[in-house]
This record gives sequence, C-alpha cells and structure tokens, in this order.
Amino acid sequence: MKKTVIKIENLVKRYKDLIAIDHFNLQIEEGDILGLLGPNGSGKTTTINCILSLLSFDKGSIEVFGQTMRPDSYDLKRQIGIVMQNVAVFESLNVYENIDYFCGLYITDKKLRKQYVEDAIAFVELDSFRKFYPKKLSGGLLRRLNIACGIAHKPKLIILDEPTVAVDPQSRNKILEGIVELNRQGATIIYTSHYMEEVEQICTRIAIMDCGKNIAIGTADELKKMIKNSEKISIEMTPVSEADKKNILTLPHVYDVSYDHGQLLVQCSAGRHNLVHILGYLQQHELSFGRVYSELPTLNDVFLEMTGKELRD
Amino acid sequence: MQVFKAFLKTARKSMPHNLMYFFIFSGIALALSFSSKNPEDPIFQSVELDIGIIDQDHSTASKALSQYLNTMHQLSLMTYDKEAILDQLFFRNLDYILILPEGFETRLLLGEETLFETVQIPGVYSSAFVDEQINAYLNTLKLYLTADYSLNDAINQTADTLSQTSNHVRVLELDDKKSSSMNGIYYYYQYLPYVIMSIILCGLTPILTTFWEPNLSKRISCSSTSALSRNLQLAFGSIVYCFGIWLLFILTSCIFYGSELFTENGLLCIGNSFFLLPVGVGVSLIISSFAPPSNRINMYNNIITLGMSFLCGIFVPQQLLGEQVLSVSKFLPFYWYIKNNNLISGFSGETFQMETYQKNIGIQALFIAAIFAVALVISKYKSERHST
Amino acid sequence: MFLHEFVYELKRVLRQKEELFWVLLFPMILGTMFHFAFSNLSNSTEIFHTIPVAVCAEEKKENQAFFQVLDALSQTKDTPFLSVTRTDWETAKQLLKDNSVRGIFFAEENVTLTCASLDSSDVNSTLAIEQSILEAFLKEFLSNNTVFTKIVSQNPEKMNDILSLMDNRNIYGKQLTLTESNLDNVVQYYFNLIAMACLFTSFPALQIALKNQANLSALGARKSISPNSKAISVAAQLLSCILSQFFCLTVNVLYLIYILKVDFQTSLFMILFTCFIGCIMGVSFGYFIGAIGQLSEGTKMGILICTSMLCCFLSGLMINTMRSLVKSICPFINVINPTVRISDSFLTLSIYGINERYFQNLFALLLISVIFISAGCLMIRRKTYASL
Repeated sequence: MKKTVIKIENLVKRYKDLIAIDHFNLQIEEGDILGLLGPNGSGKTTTINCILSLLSFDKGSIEVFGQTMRPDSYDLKRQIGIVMQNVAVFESLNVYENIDYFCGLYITDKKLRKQYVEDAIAFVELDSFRKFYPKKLSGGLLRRLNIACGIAHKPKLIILDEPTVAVDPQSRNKILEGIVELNRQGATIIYTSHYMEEVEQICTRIAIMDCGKNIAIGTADELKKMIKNSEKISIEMTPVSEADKKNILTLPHVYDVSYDHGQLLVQCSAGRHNLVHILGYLQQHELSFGRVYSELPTLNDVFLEMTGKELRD
Repeated sequence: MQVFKAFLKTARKSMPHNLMYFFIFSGIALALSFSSKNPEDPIFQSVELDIGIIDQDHSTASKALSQYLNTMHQLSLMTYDKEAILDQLFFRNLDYILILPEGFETRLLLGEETLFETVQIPGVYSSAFVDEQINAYLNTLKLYLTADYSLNDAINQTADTLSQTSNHVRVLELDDKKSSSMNGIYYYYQYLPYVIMSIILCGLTPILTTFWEPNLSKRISCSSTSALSRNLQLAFGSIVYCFGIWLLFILTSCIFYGSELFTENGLLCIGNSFFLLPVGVGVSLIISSFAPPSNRINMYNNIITLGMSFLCGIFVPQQLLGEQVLSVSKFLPFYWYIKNNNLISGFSGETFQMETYQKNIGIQALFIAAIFAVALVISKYKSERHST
Repeated sequence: MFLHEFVYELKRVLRQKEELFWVLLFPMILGTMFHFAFSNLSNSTEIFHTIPVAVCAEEKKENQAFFQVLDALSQTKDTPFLSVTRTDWETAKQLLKDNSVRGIFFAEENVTLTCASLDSSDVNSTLAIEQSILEAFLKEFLSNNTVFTKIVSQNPEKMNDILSLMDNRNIYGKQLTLTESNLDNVVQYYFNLIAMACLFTSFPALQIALKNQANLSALGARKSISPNSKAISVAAQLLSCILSQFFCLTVNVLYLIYILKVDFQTSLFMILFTCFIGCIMGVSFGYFIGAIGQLSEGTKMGILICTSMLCCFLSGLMINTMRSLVKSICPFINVINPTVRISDSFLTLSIYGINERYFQNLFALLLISVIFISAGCLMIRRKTYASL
C-alpha cells in the first residue's frame, strides 16, 4: 500500500466574488509524478499556495504527509521543495551562493550542504556558470537556477509550478529529464503546466483542472479512455456528397463525419481497423483521395470534450 | 507625432509625482525667500545685534545699562540656563550674552574692576563690538561717579553724553549702487535653479529614459520614423514639459510678489531664469541617454543638483565662497545665473550694467550649447554602438 | 540559521551598489561640497582681525589726545585692535575705495570718521561690524572728552582722579567659559549630514521587509515556506544590515574627521556610538516602511527618500536656521524628527559633553526604533495571506 503524500478534500478558495477553487479534491501517492493540467487562471497556482499554507482558504482540508499544514509546521516544510512560477533568486548573489543560501535554510550541516549544493549544480548542469550573477544568465539558465534553489535540499515532495514557461526547447528537455530523474531517486512530484505534451511525457498521473474544479484524474491512457473519441482520421479529397457522408457514418465505430477545407474528418469511438474500413468504402465507390492521417486522441481532445473548449487559448 | 504623443502620455502618468515635487520645492523656495531679512536704509547705521541679558541684580544701574544697550540692539531678557544660553549662541539666535550678577551696582559704586560677565562665541567680531560699547558706557559712568555725581545723576549724564556724540560719522558714497526693496523676489530666484533643476531631473529624466531603454529604442529605430524626427519630437516634448514647469514657478512668484515682479528688475530675473530650462533639459538628456535604472537616476540627480547648488553659491552666497571654489564653479552654468541674480539685486555690491547682464546670459547660452553638443555626441555614440 | 542569514545578508548588502552609494558615497560627496563651500565661512565673517584704518590731519593741527589713543591701541601684542596708516585725505579715500582700510579718521580738533556706504545686503557683513566697532570706539573717545571738559569746568579738584581713570582704561567684563567648544556653527552642517546618512540606512532595510513578505515578492513567498522561524531570520538580517551600514557610516565619519578635518569637538568613540544608535533608528525606519501594505517597491522607496529629505531639510541640512525656525513655529516637529535628534546628540556632545539631554536624545531614538521594529514585525509576522 503506497503512502498518501497529499490529501486535499473539498478545498474552496474565494477572492471576493470570484471562486478560485471550487470543492477541489486530490490525493497524491508516494512516488507519483502528478501533472496538474489546466488553462491559465484555472487555479493551479492558487491550489499550490494553499497546500503551502501561504494562502488562507475558506473551506476544506489539506493534509501533507498525514498532517495538517500550518505556517509553522517546520518539520513538514523541511521535506518540501518548491520551484516557483516566478524566478525567486537574489540578484546580488551568484549561482553558487543562491543555491547555498536556499539550501542553508533547510540543511544546517555545512559538509552535507556543500555536497547537496554540488549535486544540485551538477543536476541542472550549471557547473560552468557557478560564479555568474542572475543578471548574466539567459532565461533558460535562470529557470534552471530557480529549480536548483528549490530542490537542492533533496526534499521528499517537490512542487514545480510551471518551471518551463518561457524556456528554450533544449533547456526544457533538460528540465523534464531532471524531473523524471528526481522521481527515480524517490521524490514525489507535483508538476503544474498548461503544456499538455510535457505533462503527457513525464507524468504518471494527471489531474485536469478547470475553473477551480478537478475535472478528471488518472493516467494519460485512463483519461483518454474516458472520452468517446479514440481515433481521428482525416483524408484529403474532393468534396463528398451528403449521401456518402451518411454511408460512412454507418460504418462500425464511426460516430461523426464532416467535410471541411478539402479534408474529410471521421471520428471513431473504438476499434482497430477503422482506417481499413473507411478506405475500403472510398475505393469501393471510386472516390479519389490524397494524403491520409490517423491520429490518436490527445489530452487536448480530452479537455475539449470535457469542457467544450480548447486547452490552449 | 507618435513619439511626442507617447511622451505626453508618459508625462501625464508621472504628473502626480511631479506635482508633489512642485509643491515641496516651491514651498521651500518661498519659505526661504520669506525668511530672509528685509532691506535696511543705506545710510550709516551701527550694526544691530541680538543680545541676551541676564539681569540678576535688578538695580538702577543694571537697568540703566540694559536700557542703554536697548537703544542700539535687540535685547532679550533671559534667566541663567547654561544649555539655553549655549544653544542660542550656537544657532546664532543671539550673538552675545551679558550677565549682570547680583551686586553689580554695589561693586560699581565701590569702584571694583570686574563688574559683569559675558558669554560669547569665541573669537567672533560682533562680541568685541559689544564689549567695546559696554566698556564705553561704564567708563563714562565711572567718570561721573568719580566726580561725585550721585548714581542717578551720573546715569542721566552718561546717557546724555553718549547720545550727543553720535553725529561724527560720515558715509562716503563710493559709487552709485543699485539698491532695491524687493529682496524676497531675489531670494526666490536665487533658490530657483536648485528647485527647477531638481524637478526637471526628477521628472523629465525618467520619461526620457523610457525612450532610451534599449529594447524600446531599437523598436522605435526599426519603425519608419527617422532618428532625426524622433529626436526632434523628444526635444519638443521636453521643451513643452519644462516650459510648463517654468511657467508654474513664474506664476507662483507672480501670486506671491504680485506687481513687484513686473518692474524692470523683476523682468530681468524672469529672463535670467528662462536660461535654466535648457540647462536642465540638456543634463537630463545626457543622464537619460545612459538609460540608468530608476534608483540610479535619483543618485545622479542629487549629486548634480546639490553639487552645483553648493559650488555655485545658491545655498551659500557667492561672496562667501573661497577663491578656489569660485574658480571651479566658473565652469558651471549656475555660477553665471547667480552672478546675474546678484547683479540685479545688488547683493554682490556690483553696479548693474546691462552689458554685464547680457554677457552672463551669453555665457550661460554657451554652456547650454556645450551641454547639448555633449548630449548629441553621446546619443550618436550610443546609437552607433547599438547598430554594430 | 542565525549565522547563515547574517552572513548572506552581509554579502547582499555589500554588493548592492546603489544602496551603498547612499550611505557610503553620497555623504562623502556632500561633505566635500560642504567643505569647499564653507571653508571660507568661519574665517571671513566671524574670527576677529585687526581693523585697518587711515588717519589724516594737517601738520600741527593733530588732535594729540586722539593720536595717543591710536598709538596705544595699535601696539598691543597678540591681535592689536587697529593698524593705523597716516596719510593725506585723497590717498585715504582711495584706500577706502580699495577696501584696504575700513574707515578714515579725520583727527584735528574735531574727530570724525568716514566710512564707505553699505548696501542692504551688507548689513551684517564683516565690513558693517568693523565700521560699527570703529564708530563705537570714536564715540567712547568723544564722550570721554566731553565728560572731561564738563567735569573739569565744574569740579577742577577732581581733575587728577579723572585723568588717572582715563589713562587706566578699564575692562569691566569677564568672559565666562561655559564650554570647551568653539561654538563654530558650521559644524552643524556636518552633524546634519551624518544624521542624513543615518536615515539613508533605511534603504537596504526596506529590502529586508520586501524580501521576507510572501505577498510582496516571490522571494518572500519562497522564504515563507522554508522551515525556519521568521523572527530569527529577520533579526539576523536586521542585525547584519545595521552592522554593515554602521561600517559605511564609520568610513564617512573618518573621512570627515581625517580628510576634511572637521572638528567635532568630542571623542571619536562617542560620535561612532551615536552613529550606531542613529543607524539602528534608520534601519528600523526602512523596515517599517517596507512592511506597510501592498505598495510597490518604487512607491516605498519614494516615501523613504521624501521623508528623509524632508526630515533633513527641517533639521537644517540645507539652511542652518531652519531648526530654530521650526522650533519657534511648531516645536513638536523637532521633538519627533529623528534627524534633529541625531544631530542634536552630536551638538550636545560637542558643547556640553555627555549629559541628560544627550541621553534623552538617545532614548528618543531607541524608542522610535522599537516602535518601528515592533510595528514592522506585527505586519510581517508569519501568516497566511488572503491573497498574494
């Protein structure tokens, strides 16, 4: 039986008239990489700030490692590492000093701390920049420094709040690999993002948030199974008659057919041989066609189907 | 006119901030000008000092002495309190403290030598002067006493004698100096450079800096507006801005000094002050072309304004500055502004001559040209460096 | 933990160039300006010099008595009262115009004094005082003559007594020394300067508040979730800030004393001790302002600069008479103005040494600090926020 690291029940947070978090429930097990996915303004950061007891909330309960989190729960805080959305480092300290400073807030043993700081520098690959001041670092490097500051003390629970915003692809991959590596070393991770590819790539479980609500939770596959759509087939071809459309719709598993911008779009709900059936029908009726694409559903489709809007706006 | 419009919008945003500066600084300038002393008659007049008297004797003689001093100086009666005495002397609220101890009269009649005590600012002129006057009084009084006059008679005779001997001083008019009755205005205009410079630097520099901020500056350079047109628009914006501030200050002086301002001298002051504006704009241009962060702008402003003000004789009158200081400040535009202000007011003892006034204005104009040349060179250099 | 925060705060403060500038460089620069601007001030206006005069009289018509007195007064040892040039009228007039002599005595049967005319602005200048002294001197001589003739005509038998009294020109006053200080009031500019530097220590302290409060900066949020007591962390940073700022102040004080040769007339130790207290006050002030609500950093910095400059202005940094003026209008402002408290501590030390008033000042400063720090801590103590 895995231990529960975070348990959030019925969390409600209001900013005057605006309900930021609306009866939010979430449970995170040890060893998870939980992706908290949602569009901007869906309440991801607010949830995290509530977990950290930076924000007061109106209703509900939050337990971390089985205890209620309070501003002075120092023992709990020692086990948490946080990487903030905004870069929070001191301009007047260099890379090494920044990491050492933040690590020092958790680790008082000097020898151990030195080791940890070196580990963190190696981890984010900032070794050749250790004497650099934040001002001189590029956006990606600065983000990496921000991460190093948050995780240098080797916490059991790491919360990363959109660590890859405005980061170049190369740095982004490094960061993602690093997160997986941290997880392999035993840390439980909460990862918020509005980039679904990232979340799909690294997270073991994914929670989808919208308007402060937890819409769905599960692995990527589980989430995709929750929706009707399982395959999307698009075919470049000349306009199709209404009769043909109706006929295609009668094929097994097909539930929606439309024609737009020179493409026939067929949505299928299940089954493995949908493409064969459709192409067979087209050949049979001597309809000529160009390129054919078959796509499996993405998290975006999941989100779209659940909320009726695109994840990316 | 896009740049100019953006300039005005930025300026409007910083308006409340600048207005605060305006009220503080005009308050300071007015406070200074009203706290200055009123002019006196130019005929010979003995210096009037502030003397504190501690009369512990309360006798006829002590009162007579106080009365005598009262005819020449500002007296204030006080009680013996060491700290009060020293504080008053330190801050120069009083120039001299006279203590008439108990038994002053008795000792006077007995012919004793030490009669009173004084507390003075060590080595200061004015105290020697009062010493001299009191000695003169007591000497005369003692002469009468020696000649067997009664105390009351002696006092009356002394007062008589001393008042008769006052018409032996003649004043030689060395040249026809311009003397005036509108000191307040001159003080107002004397502090104006400090105030206007502070406001222009605090208000204008941040606005200009936004336009020099590297990214924004590049973006404007990329647009179809030519560099010349941009600079002209910025210059125009700055001129409008500064002119507005200047008008505000002139209006303020108008409200407080009224019609006095519209005499020949007042107009000369206004004309002189107009030349402060381009100095401010120029310096502001130079600072802003380095696009410093906002906290540094403040730093430069303070050094430049306070430095110029002290060196050029705004806070300390030019006549009191040392030779070396003046030889440095001749290379600063405010020096010539103050020189003109002194010339108009007659503070420096110079005779007013239109040519000198014009010469000083001319020198200021040269400085302005030089400052703008420097600003242009820097901006040119900066933009070339951007483009490589 | 305490040490960790302490060391890192030290590093941070000492690397912040802009903030170091205000406490370290700005007072030095301003002090240097003061030095140049005031170097002439105490010498030229106050310290007593010998007064040069010209005497003219036709041969054989000289007033013997007057010449005798002049001789006596120009041959005293250390600083003779007068230096006399005997010459003819035309030359004397020229000398007067050149300002090589301050007055011309025309000493025949009637003795008269001729002085140059003065301008309104010269009323309290050295020249005016010198003229007044000459006038007082002449007055005494003339009144002695009058008395002599009067008495001799009425009481011939007293003639010898009178003559001996007149030869034996008496000094009746005794100057009291209430303090070792020379009461040189230029030094108060430097007192105010250090007081200003003390207030400027609030700038880095502002950062401490900002960087520890979760709703003011990301860093604050970051620190709020670390497993440490905020009280210890903030205390370490404040202490570190106080010490580093005190170091800067010390450099300043040493610069003033050893490079600019400012004479504070008290021991270095006491100056530094007072600075230390002032530094605590400044830091707590900055911390307090930083902790107030959700104003932007720029606004808070603006508040700091404005309040500090206003305090300095009211305490007389720019115009030394300001404090007396405030005292007469609204004495309460002086009671609560920290700049006045600091600068008055220095004044007290230099004039009276350590006394009750000095301790009152220190106590007031510490009280202000305690109020600021506790108010700041109340606002900033670890809490959850309604919004970030």
